[in-house]
Amino acid sequence: MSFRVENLTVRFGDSQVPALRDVSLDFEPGMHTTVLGPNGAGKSTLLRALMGTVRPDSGQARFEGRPSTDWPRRDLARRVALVSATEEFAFPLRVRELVAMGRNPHLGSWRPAGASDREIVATSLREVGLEAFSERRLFTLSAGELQRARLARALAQQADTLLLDEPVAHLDLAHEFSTFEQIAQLTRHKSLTTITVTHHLNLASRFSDRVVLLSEGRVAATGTAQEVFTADRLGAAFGCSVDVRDLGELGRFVVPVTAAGPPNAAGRSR
Amino acid sequence: MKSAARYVILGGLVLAGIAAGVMVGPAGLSPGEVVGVFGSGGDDIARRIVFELRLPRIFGAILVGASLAVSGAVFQALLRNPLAEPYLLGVSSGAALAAVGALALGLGSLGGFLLPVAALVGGLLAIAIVFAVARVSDRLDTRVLILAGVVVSAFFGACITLILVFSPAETLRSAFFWTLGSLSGISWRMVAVLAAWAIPASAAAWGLGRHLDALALGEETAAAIGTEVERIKRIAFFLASLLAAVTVSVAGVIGFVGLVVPHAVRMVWGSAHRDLIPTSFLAGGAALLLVDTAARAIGGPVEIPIGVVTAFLGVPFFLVLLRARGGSA
Repeated sequence: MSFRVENLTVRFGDSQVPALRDVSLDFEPGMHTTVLGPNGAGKSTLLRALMGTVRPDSGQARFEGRPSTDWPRRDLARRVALVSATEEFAFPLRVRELVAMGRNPHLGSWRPAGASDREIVATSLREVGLEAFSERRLFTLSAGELQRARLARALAQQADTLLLDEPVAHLDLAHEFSTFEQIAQLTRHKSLTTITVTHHLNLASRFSDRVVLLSEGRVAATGTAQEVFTADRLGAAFGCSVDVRDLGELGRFVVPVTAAGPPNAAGRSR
Repeated sequence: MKSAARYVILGGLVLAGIAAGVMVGPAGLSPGEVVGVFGSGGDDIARRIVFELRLPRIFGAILVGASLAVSGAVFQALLRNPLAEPYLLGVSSGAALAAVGALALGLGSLGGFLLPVAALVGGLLAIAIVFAVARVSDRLDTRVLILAGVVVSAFFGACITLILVFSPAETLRSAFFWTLGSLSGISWRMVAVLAAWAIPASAAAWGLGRHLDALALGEETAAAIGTEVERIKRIAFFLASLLAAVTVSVAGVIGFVGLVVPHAVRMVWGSAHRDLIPTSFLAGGAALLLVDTAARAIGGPVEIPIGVVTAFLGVPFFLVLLRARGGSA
């Protein structure tokens, strides 16, 4: 068992509406889980709760049995890597320097990076196809290249669990496809526990072993895309009418029909 | 080690600065006389000039410059802002207000150590106020930190102006040197106080290097790559603030070193903080020492406030560097 979430409720500040309410989920090694749901459904909050960077109101997110909030950051970072949705670059960095930061939890404060660390950085760059970009400055990269550089940093952490928050935002058709394909492959080959937050229902259907559909902070459904993706369920969660087509091994494809939702989705609080 | 070259270059600059600093001064000692005092012979007055005036000033300049550069480098990473500098959060105005207040009350004549102590207390007070304001439910909000620092600075600045308006000319002149900085009158005792804080604090900042790299990417990512974000922010804030406070208490407010030196080092050698911190230490020490020595050589018997000289030399240098490297940095 990698992560286990039990009856997790998270509330921000004195907000009346919790961001997550009574969520319970298990995550197994070797499985790629995608977390889906409309804006404000609690997807990123779930990742933060898994990372232990938000405190639950009640319930618990545990990694290997220990509450995430109790893990020393350095120990957790050797097991769990996160590629967050946004990142700031206060100073001009090179691709190699960004990826090398993935070695931080292994090196601590004082130990200098050694040959094996440099080798791991090089391997991680190769795995995302950026070996020729090692000395490039980050601001010269396209959005897709930057996203892959951040993924390489997560790989350099050599964690067994990978959390990805909208890894294909800003990517074009081909790059979003290849990124998802690669995430699925890495998950299988390295037997990772991968949890990806995304708005790409079709890619999630094709490249994940399990989907979790969140709506208004609750788990609306969980299972394979075959099980979860029905026009009624998705329509209710996203507040719009959709058509769902089964394309066999290409997955279940979701086509929006109108923006007007089913009546029970109107007037949602978030 | 690939970065060894820069340490050799900067170490060489520090040594060259020490050599030049010993030779230069209004007393007009010949090189022979200066060299003589390090041997067995030598003139007694020359010996006193070198050992009691020039050498403490040289080591004071190195330590003040090094402290300011390290402080600036840490603040830039903590606040995720390349324009951050040691005085941004009100340390300098707090220290200057306390010093000017002590001068106005006539306490300046009571002994050499009273003003530096007052300045240190003022700097610490500013740090405490800003920290207390920016600390919301166990988190240190760096945006609030900047705003609180700027506002506290402005308030203390207004207090200083108010005191000076009602002060006699003599107080004005002393206060002037506080607010523009001066390396004159640094004693061995002050050098010892400086060293006792600057060296361990800079070493600690060096140890934070990887965490500062991480913080510059944002707090969420920093936590994800193993940084205890709140703890590191608190340590970084106090290290950098206290480095600035101690320099102000000894040498007044010396601008530009804490902004320009770490920034220039970033442009030339990159922003990996494990190298940036020791490089800034050496570069800051070398820069302030060379600037002070040049000012003494040019100014002769007239003491030009060091803050004016750092601005005069630092600004053109920085503009040239910006122009030359701006696109690629």
